[in-house]
Amino acid sequence: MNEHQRNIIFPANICVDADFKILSIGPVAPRLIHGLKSGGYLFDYVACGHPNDEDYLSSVSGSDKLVRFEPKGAGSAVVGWVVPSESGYILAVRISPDKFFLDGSSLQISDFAPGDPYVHGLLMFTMQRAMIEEQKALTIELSVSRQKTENLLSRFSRIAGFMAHDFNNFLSIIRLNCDRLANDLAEDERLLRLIDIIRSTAARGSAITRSLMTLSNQREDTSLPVPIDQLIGENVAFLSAAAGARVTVAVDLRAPGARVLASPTGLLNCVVNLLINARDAMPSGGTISIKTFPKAHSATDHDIGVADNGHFIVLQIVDSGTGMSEEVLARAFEPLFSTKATGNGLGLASVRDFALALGGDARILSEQSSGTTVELVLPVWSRTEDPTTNRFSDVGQDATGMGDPAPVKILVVDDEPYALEALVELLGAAGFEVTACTSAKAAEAELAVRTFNVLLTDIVLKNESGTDLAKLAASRDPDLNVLLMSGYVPIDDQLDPKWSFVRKPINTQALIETIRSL
Amino acid sequence: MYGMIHRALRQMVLDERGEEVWSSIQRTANVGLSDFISSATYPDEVTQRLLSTSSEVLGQDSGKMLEQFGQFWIRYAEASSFASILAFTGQDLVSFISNLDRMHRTIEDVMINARMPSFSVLAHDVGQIRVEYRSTRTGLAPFVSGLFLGLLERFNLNGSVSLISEDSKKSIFVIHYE
Ligand code: HEM
Repeated sequence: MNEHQRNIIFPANICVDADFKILSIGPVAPRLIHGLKSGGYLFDYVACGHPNDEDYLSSVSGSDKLVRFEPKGAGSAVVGWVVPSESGYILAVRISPDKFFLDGSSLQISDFAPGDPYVHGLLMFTMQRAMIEEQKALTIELSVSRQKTENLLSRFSRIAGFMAHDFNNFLSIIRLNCDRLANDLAEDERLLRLIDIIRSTAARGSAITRSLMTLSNQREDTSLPVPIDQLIGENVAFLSAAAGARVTVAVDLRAPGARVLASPTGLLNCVVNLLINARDAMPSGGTISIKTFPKAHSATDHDIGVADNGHFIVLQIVDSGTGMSEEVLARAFEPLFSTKATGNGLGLASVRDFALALGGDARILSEQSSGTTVELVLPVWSRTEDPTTNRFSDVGQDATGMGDPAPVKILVVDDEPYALEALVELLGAAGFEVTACTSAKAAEAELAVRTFNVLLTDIVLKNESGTDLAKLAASRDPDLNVLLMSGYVPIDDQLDPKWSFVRKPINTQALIETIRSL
Repeated sequence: MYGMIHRALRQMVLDERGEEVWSSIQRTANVGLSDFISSATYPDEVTQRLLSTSSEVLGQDSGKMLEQFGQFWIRYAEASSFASILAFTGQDLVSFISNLDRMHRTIEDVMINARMPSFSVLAHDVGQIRVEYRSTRTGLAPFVSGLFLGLLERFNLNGSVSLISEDSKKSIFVIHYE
């Protein structure tokens, strides 16, 4: 091996004669053992830690014994073999870093022979550390960004809720005034038909606003016994809007009355998530069916992770799209797995988490090219489980209470003057004695001087609360019938179960019948 | 390319133009946080889109921006956990460039999806280095110029970089320094 070859393989080599005088050194040697020069005496620069280093080196020369040379001055230790040569010895040494850290060291790659595994070790280790550092930074960024998104979403959803509420009030005014017009135009068939169109369009708009209010207004963690068929039935207009214009939403609900203890918003979100997935699987349109049916599940049912014996309700979203391949199907519930360019893959995973949290499960039945069915199996809530019932009775829009018309005195409170005006006229025409107030304060003044049979008040009043007014009025007069109205469905525990509730936009006929039935 | 490149680009825009400008680049290029995982690889098309959107939004010529990004990458690496790798690559300009291939080759063993460049010092003289750059990618010559400018800065040298020839396989640069 000539000097050039030696310098490549052992860039820190040192050649000495039989008296340990330095004959030549590799290019890296002086960087490691500072001050090392040809012509000097080896043991002026390094020591091997033996009583007689000269004898020791001679004794190990040609053996496979690794010798460590510590610098006497500044520098790094080197390790290697002592190889006998014609003129003396070659110290075939290389640097021996003490640790796998590069920080602060003055070493560089070319201080090591090509292929020296130490270089690999050092770089891998350092690279790994760098990646972990970057990963840590990313984790922090992700959590900050998630917090930001959540704040934004909650603000946005509150604003959407307020807007939907106000919008619903306007629809209510349109509807009430349609009723007024219809009373005046009882003879004119054509105009009555036009009024009907306006009224039913307002009703469709208000079905969508109500879904928006439900989604934006209720907390995800409020669990109620939710009648699934009713929830889906009431939100069909909204769900159809979410599915888009190219898709027909067909509803086949066969679990009437069955309830699931869940957050209505959470359930609705699940259905919306699944609808959006289904819609995306059908770029050129098609049909999505939402189906429910009861199912008795037993512990031997291994096809789905629901272990308990008991009654379940199955909620299926069936699309007529392209279906999923086996690989996609196998990974579909993984968080962050998505086949969409812009997807974040959280849809199906979060739906399954939701179902699991309720003691149910979710699964996908799909065949490539013949559509996908996502199935949620949810435990049916039985009355003995939890008394968190909605004690408050919602008489809804289609109440059919019957009763003889009686001279009833009604105090109507609504901060929307147009709505109030319409209510006064319509209730007056139905034979009630109506007093109108645009604020809770004015109503309190009326209640202080007169007696009423019914208090009909909006729940949300400008800077005031209809519920507070109702409480005050009921405490003064226990015989007073309280009828609250709102676009929101109240779920407040503080509401008195004796009170009744009508939803805006108000169906005049149903309202009149409710008042008569009180 | 590995996400570490995306992170560096983002840092450059954030440092120089602030969060709003970056958000608008991110929106236009249709990328999100998940495109900034250092150890993940992304199709070059995503990197390209980020670069071209950045130069559009910043109103800068794309070559100029690539050069600026190259120069920034050295500063970015110096300030991050990559600093010790830079130091290990070489303690002076000539050693550094001569050792670049060894550094990239070694790292390739952990970053198995990388398509590493190749640099060789063709000649060096006092105040001048002639370097050949080879790559499986095209269009990165301005980025390499910027990287060399960043290295001059790193070694406290005044100098300039010129691209003296370029074809589909290799580019030759001359680095002059005082
Ligand atoms: C800490 C230091 C460095 C690390 C960890 C590093 C790592 C990498 C990695 C992983 C890639 C591959 C990208 C991919 O294909 O996904 C890459 C590419 C590249 N690196 Fe480095 N690098 C470093 C420093 C440098 C320096 C100082 C230069 C030049 C002066 C350089 C020039 C390049 C170039 C030009 C590419 C583009 C690849 C191509 O031409 O196709 N790198 N580097």
